[in-house]
Amino acid sequence: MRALSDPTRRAIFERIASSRETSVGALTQHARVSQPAVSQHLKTLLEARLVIARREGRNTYYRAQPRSLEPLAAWLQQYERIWTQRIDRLDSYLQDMQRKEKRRARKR
Amino acid sequence: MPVNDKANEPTLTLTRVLNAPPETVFKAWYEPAHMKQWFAPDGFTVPRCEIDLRPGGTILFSMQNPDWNNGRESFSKGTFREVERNKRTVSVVHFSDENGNRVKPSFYGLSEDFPEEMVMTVTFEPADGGKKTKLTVTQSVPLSIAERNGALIGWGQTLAHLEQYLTTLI
Repeated sequence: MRALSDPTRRAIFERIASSRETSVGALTQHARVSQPAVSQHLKTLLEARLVIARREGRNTYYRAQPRSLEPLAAWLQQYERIWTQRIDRLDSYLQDMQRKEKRRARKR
Repeated sequence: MPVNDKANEPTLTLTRVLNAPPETVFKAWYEPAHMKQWFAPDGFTVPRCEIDLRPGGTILFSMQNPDWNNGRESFSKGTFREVERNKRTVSVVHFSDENGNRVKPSFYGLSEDFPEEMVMTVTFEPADGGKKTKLTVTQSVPLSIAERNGALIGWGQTLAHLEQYLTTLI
Protein backbone atom coordinates (compact mmCIF):
# COMPACT_ATOMS: atom_id res chain seq x y z
CA MET A 1 0.00 0.00 0.00
CA ARG A 2 3.06 2.17 0.18
CA ALA A 3 2.48 2.40 -3.57
CA LEU A 4 -0.14 5.04 -2.82
CA SER A 5 1.95 7.23 -0.51
CA ASP A 6 3.09 9.39 -3.45
CA PRO A 7 0.54 12.12 -4.32
CA THR A 8 1.17 11.99 -8.09
CA ARG A 9 0.83 8.23 -8.11
CA ARG A 10 -2.31 8.46 -5.99
CA ALA A 11 -3.78 10.96 -8.46
CA ILE A 12 -2.99 8.59 -11.32
CA PHE A 13 -4.61 5.71 -9.47
CA GLU A 14 -7.69 7.77 -8.69
CA ARG A 15 -8.04 8.62 -12.35
CA ILE A 16 -7.77 4.97 -13.35
CA ALA A 17 -10.29 4.01 -10.66
CA SER A 18 -12.78 6.61 -11.86
CA SER A 19 -12.87 5.24 -15.41
CA ARG A 20 -13.43 1.70 -16.58
CA GLU A 21 -10.19 1.50 -18.45
CA THR A 22 -7.61 4.05 -19.51
CA SER A 23 -4.39 4.39 -21.51
CA VAL A 24 -0.99 5.92 -20.72
CA GLY A 25 -1.71 8.69 -23.19
CA ALA A 26 -4.94 9.70 -21.48
CA LEU A 27 -3.24 9.59 -18.09
CA THR A 28 -0.34 11.75 -19.27
CA GLN A 29 -2.74 14.42 -20.52
CA HIS A 30 -4.14 14.85 -17.02
CA ALA A 31 -0.94 14.38 -15.04
CA ARG A 32 1.51 17.23 -14.64
CA VAL A 33 4.43 14.92 -15.32
CA SER A 34 6.04 13.43 -18.42
CA GLN A 35 4.96 10.19 -20.06
CA PRO A 36 8.01 8.21 -18.83
CA ALA A 37 7.19 9.40 -15.27
CA VAL A 38 3.60 8.23 -15.68
CA SER A 39 4.88 4.87 -16.96
CA GLN A 40 7.15 4.56 -13.95
CA HIS A 41 4.22 5.23 -11.58
CA LEU A 42 2.13 2.69 -13.47
CA LYS A 43 4.88 0.11 -13.00
CA THR A 44 4.73 0.64 -9.23
CA LEU A 45 0.93 0.37 -9.25
CA LEU A 46 1.14 -2.84 -11.28
CA GLU A 47 3.68 -4.32 -8.86
CA ALA A 48 1.39 -3.47 -5.95
CA ARG A 49 -1.43 -5.16 -7.90
CA LEU A 50 -3.52 -2.03 -7.59
CA VAL A 51 -3.97 -1.98 -11.35
CA ILE A 52 -3.91 -4.58 -14.11
CA ALA A 53 -2.81 -4.05 -17.68
CA ARG A 54 -4.36 -5.30 -20.88
CA ARG A 55 -2.46 -5.13 -24.14
CA GLU A 56 -4.32 -4.47 -27.39
CA GLY A 57 -2.13 -4.10 -30.44
CA ARG A 58 0.42 -1.38 -29.64
CA ASN A 59 -1.60 0.07 -26.81
CA THR A 60 -1.82 -0.92 -23.17
CA TYR A 61 -4.93 -0.23 -21.13
CA TYR A 62 -5.07 -0.02 -17.35
CA ARG A 63 -7.83 -0.97 -14.99
CA ALA A 64 -8.06 -0.54 -11.20
CA GLN A 65 -8.14 -3.54 -8.90
CA PRO A 66 -10.12 -2.26 -5.93
CA ARG A 67 -9.87 -5.56 -4.07
CA SER A 68 -6.39 -4.47 -3.04
CA LEU A 69 -8.07 -1.73 -1.00
CA GLU A 70 -10.27 -4.05 0.98
CA PRO A 71 -8.24 -3.86 4.22
CA LEU A 72 -8.70 -0.08 4.32
CA ALA A 73 -12.37 -0.23 3.41
CA ALA A 74 -12.99 -2.98 5.99
CA TRP A 75 -11.29 -0.98 8.70
CA LEU A 76 -13.29 2.14 7.92
CA GLN A 77 -16.55 0.21 7.74
CA GLN A 78 -15.87 -1.30 11.16
CA TYR A 79 -15.33 2.15 12.65
CA GLU A 80 -18.35 3.56 10.93
CA ARG A 81 -20.54 0.76 12.29
CA ILE A 82 -19.33 1.31 15.86
CA TRP A 83 -19.84 5.06 15.67
CA THR A 84 -23.27 4.78 14.09
CA GLN A 85 -24.35 2.51 16.96
CA ARG A 86 -22.92 4.90 19.53
CA ILE A 87 -24.68 7.92 18.08
CA ASP A 88 -27.98 5.99 17.87
CA ARG A 89 -27.61 5.24 21.56
CA LEU A 90 -26.68 8.80 22.40
CA ASP A 91 -29.75 9.97 20.53
CA SER A 92 -32.12 7.84 22.60
CA TYR A 93 -30.18 8.47 25.82
CA LEU A 94 -30.60 12.23 25.34
CA GLN A 95 -34.38 11.78 25.32
CA ASP A 96 -34.24 9.89 28.66
CA MET A 97 -31.89 12.46 30.09
CA GLN A 98 -34.13 15.38 29.15
CA ARG A 99 -37.28 13.64 30.45
CA LYS A 100 -35.57 13.06 33.81
CA GLU A 101 -34.31 16.64 33.99
CA LYS A 102 -37.80 18.00 33.28
CA ARG A 103 -39.26 15.78 36.00
CA ARG A 104 -36.63 16.98 38.46
CA ALA A 105 -37.32 20.61 37.51
CA ARG A 106 -41.06 20.13 38.14
CA LYS A 107 -40.41 18.71 41.62
CA ARG A 108 -38.43 21.79 42.64
CA MET B 1 -4.85 17.36 -9.70
CA PRO B 2 -4.33 19.64 -6.66
CA VAL B 3 -3.07 17.86 -3.59
CA ASN B 4 -4.52 18.96 -0.30
CA ASP B 5 -2.39 17.90 2.67
CA LYS B 6 -5.44 17.47 4.88
CA ALA B 7 -7.03 15.19 2.33
CA ASN B 8 -4.10 12.83 2.72
CA GLU B 9 -5.37 11.59 6.05
CA PRO B 10 -7.76 8.63 5.92
CA THR B 11 -10.83 10.14 7.53
CA LEU B 12 -14.18 9.02 8.75
CA THR B 13 -16.88 11.64 9.38
CA LEU B 14 -20.34 11.13 10.80
CA THR B 15 -22.93 13.89 11.17
CA ARG B 16 -26.26 13.77 12.95
CA VAL B 17 -28.83 16.27 14.15
CA LEU B 18 -29.79 15.41 17.74
CA ASN B 19 -32.95 16.51 19.47
CA ALA B 20 -31.30 18.31 22.43
CA PRO B 21 -29.40 21.60 22.84
CA PRO B 22 -25.57 21.60 22.57
CA GLU B 23 -25.11 22.00 26.37
CA THR B 24 -27.08 18.79 26.97
CA VAL B 25 -25.28 16.82 24.27
CA PHE B 26 -21.91 18.01 25.53
CA LYS B 27 -22.84 17.00 29.09
CA ALA B 28 -24.02 13.55 27.92
CA TRP B 29 -20.70 13.11 26.18
CA TYR B 30 -18.26 14.37 28.78
CA GLU B 31 -19.77 13.51 32.16
CA PRO B 32 -18.66 9.94 32.94
CA ALA B 33 -21.98 8.88 34.53
CA HIS B 34 -23.78 9.86 31.31
CA MET B 35 -21.11 8.71 28.89
CA LYS B 36 -21.14 5.18 30.36
CA GLN B 37 -24.80 4.87 29.41
CA TRP B 38 -24.37 5.15 25.67
CA PHE B 39 -20.74 5.06 24.56
CA ALA B 40 -20.44 1.28 24.12
CA PRO B 41 -21.28 -0.24 20.76
CA ASP B 42 -23.93 -3.01 20.67
CA GLY B 43 -23.18 -5.88 23.04
CA PHE B 44 -20.58 -3.93 25.03
CA THR B 45 -20.57 -2.10 28.36
CA VAL B 46 -18.32 0.73 29.60
CA PRO B 47 -17.13 -0.35 33.06
CA ARG B 48 -14.64 2.46 33.43
CA CYS B 49 -14.65 6.10 32.40
CA GLU B 50 -12.48 8.88 33.82
CA ILE B 51 -12.42 12.31 32.21
CA ASP B 52 -10.22 15.31 32.91
CA LEU B 53 -11.72 17.74 30.44
CA ARG B 54 -9.14 20.43 29.67
CA PRO B 55 -6.40 20.85 27.05
CA GLY B 56 -3.68 18.38 27.99
CA GLY B 57 -6.14 16.45 30.18
CA THR B 58 -6.96 12.82 29.51
CA ILE B 59 -9.88 10.46 29.06
CA LEU B 60 -9.51 6.79 30.04
CA PHE B 61 -12.32 4.39 29.27
CA SER B 62 -12.85 0.68 28.91
CA MET B 63 -15.20 -1.51 26.93
CA GLN B 64 -16.23 -5.06 27.74
CA ASN B 65 -18.07 -7.86 25.96
CA PRO B 66 -18.22 -11.47 27.22
CA ASP B 67 -17.33 -12.74 23.74
CA TRP B 68 -14.41 -10.45 23.07
CA ASN B 69 -10.85 -10.36 24.47
CA ASN B 70 -11.80 -13.34 26.73
CA GLY B 71 -14.40 -11.16 28.40
CA ARG B 72 -11.72 -8.82 29.75
CA GLU B 73 -11.92 -5.05 29.62
CA SER B 74 -10.16 -3.25 26.75
CA PHE B 75 -8.89 0.21 27.60
CA SER B 76 -8.37 3.29 25.45
CA LYS B 77 -6.85 6.58 26.41
CA GLY B 78 -7.26 9.97 24.82
CA THR B 79 -5.43 13.23 25.40
CA PHE B 80 -7.32 16.44 24.74
CA ARG B 81 -5.65 18.89 22.40
CA GLU B 82 -8.51 21.38 22.34
CA VAL B 83 -11.50 21.82 24.60
CA GLU B 84 -14.16 24.44 23.85
CA ARG B 85 -16.99 23.69 26.21
CA ASN B 86 -20.33 23.00 24.46
CA LYS B 87 -18.66 23.57 21.10
CA ARG B 88 -15.75 21.38 20.16
CA THR B 89 -13.10 18.95 21.37
CA VAL B 90 -10.06 17.49 19.66
CA SER B 91 -8.28 14.51 21.15
CA VAL B 92 -5.67 11.93 20.21
CA VAL B 93 -6.76 8.40 21.12
CA HIS B 94 -4.82 5.13 21.41
CA PHE B 95 -5.28 1.72 23.05
CA SER B 96 -3.90 1.36 26.56
CA ASP B 97 -3.69 -0.92 29.58
CA GLU B 98 -5.77 -0.26 32.70
CA ASN B 99 -3.27 2.36 33.86
CA GLY B 100 -3.41 4.29 30.61
CA ASN B 101 -0.04 3.07 29.29
CA ARG B 102 -0.03 2.80 25.52
CA VAL B 103 -0.34 -0.68 23.99
CA LYS B 104 -0.36 -1.81 20.37
CA PRO B 105 -3.71 -2.72 18.76
CA SER B 106 -2.42 -6.31 18.53
CA PHE B 107 -2.46 -6.40 22.37
CA TYR B 108 -6.25 -6.60 22.03
CA GLY B 109 -6.11 -9.07 19.17
CA LEU B 110 -6.57 -6.52 16.41
CA SER B 111 -4.58 -6.86 13.22
CA GLU B 112 -1.09 -5.38 12.94
CA ASP B 113 -2.26 -2.87 10.35
CA PHE B 114 -4.89 -1.37 12.65
CA PRO B 115 -4.10 2.31 13.29
CA GLU B 116 -2.19 2.88 16.51
CA GLU B 117 -3.48 6.37 17.01
CA MET B 118 -6.44 8.42 15.82
CA VAL B 119 -7.28 12.10 16.00
CA MET B 120 -10.88 12.53 17.05
CA THR B 121 -12.72 15.81 16.57
CA VAL B 122 -16.24 16.27 17.93
CA THR B 123 -18.21 19.43 17.19
CA PHE B 124 -21.51 20.48 18.73
CA GLU B 125 -23.28 23.16 16.67
CA PRO B 126 -26.63 24.66 17.60
CA ALA B 127 -29.43 23.82 15.15
CA ASP B 128 -33.09 24.78 14.96
CA GLY B 129 -32.57 27.98 16.99
CA GLY B 130 -30.49 26.18 19.63
CA LYS B 131 -33.10 23.52 20.46
CA LYS B 132 -31.18 20.90 18.55
CA THR B 133 -27.53 20.04 17.96
CA LYS B 134 -25.70 19.23 14.79
CA LEU B 135 -23.10 16.73 15.95
CA THR B 136 -20.08 15.94 13.80
CA VAL B 137 -17.59 13.22 14.72
CA THR B 138 -14.42 13.01 12.68
CA GLN B 139 -11.76 10.36 13.14
CA SER B 140 -8.55 10.53 11.24
CA VAL B 141 -5.36 8.57 11.24
CA PRO B 142 -2.22 10.73 11.25
CA LEU B 143 -0.47 10.13 7.95
CA SER B 144 2.80 9.21 9.68
CA ILE B 145 1.02 6.38 11.48
CA ALA B 146 -0.94 5.37 8.39
CA GLU B 147 2.27 5.00 6.42
CA ARG B 148 4.01 3.16 9.22
CA ASN B 149 1.07 0.79 9.33
CA GLY B 150 1.53 0.10 5.65
CA ALA B 151 -1.99 -1.01 4.89
CA LEU B 152 -3.49 2.43 5.17
CA ILE B 153 -3.32 5.18 2.65
CA GLY B 154 -4.74 8.63 2.38
CA TRP B 155 -8.03 8.99 0.65
CA GLY B 156 -9.69 12.07 2.00
CA GLN B 157 -12.53 13.20 -0.20
CA THR B 158 -12.03 10.38 -2.67
CA LEU B 159 -12.94 7.75 -0.15
CA ALA B 160 -16.71 7.97 -0.37
CA HIS B 161 -16.47 7.80 -4.12
CA LEU B 162 -14.09 4.88 -3.88
CA GLU B 163 -16.20 2.95 -1.39
CA GLN B 164 -19.15 3.37 -3.69
CA TYR B 165 -16.99 2.02 -6.45
CA LEU B 166 -15.95 -0.96 -4.31
CA THR B 167 -19.52 -2.01 -3.70
CA THR B 168 -20.14 -2.17 -7.42
CA LEU B 169 -17.19 -4.48 -7.96
CA ILE B 170 -17.03 -6.87 -5.01
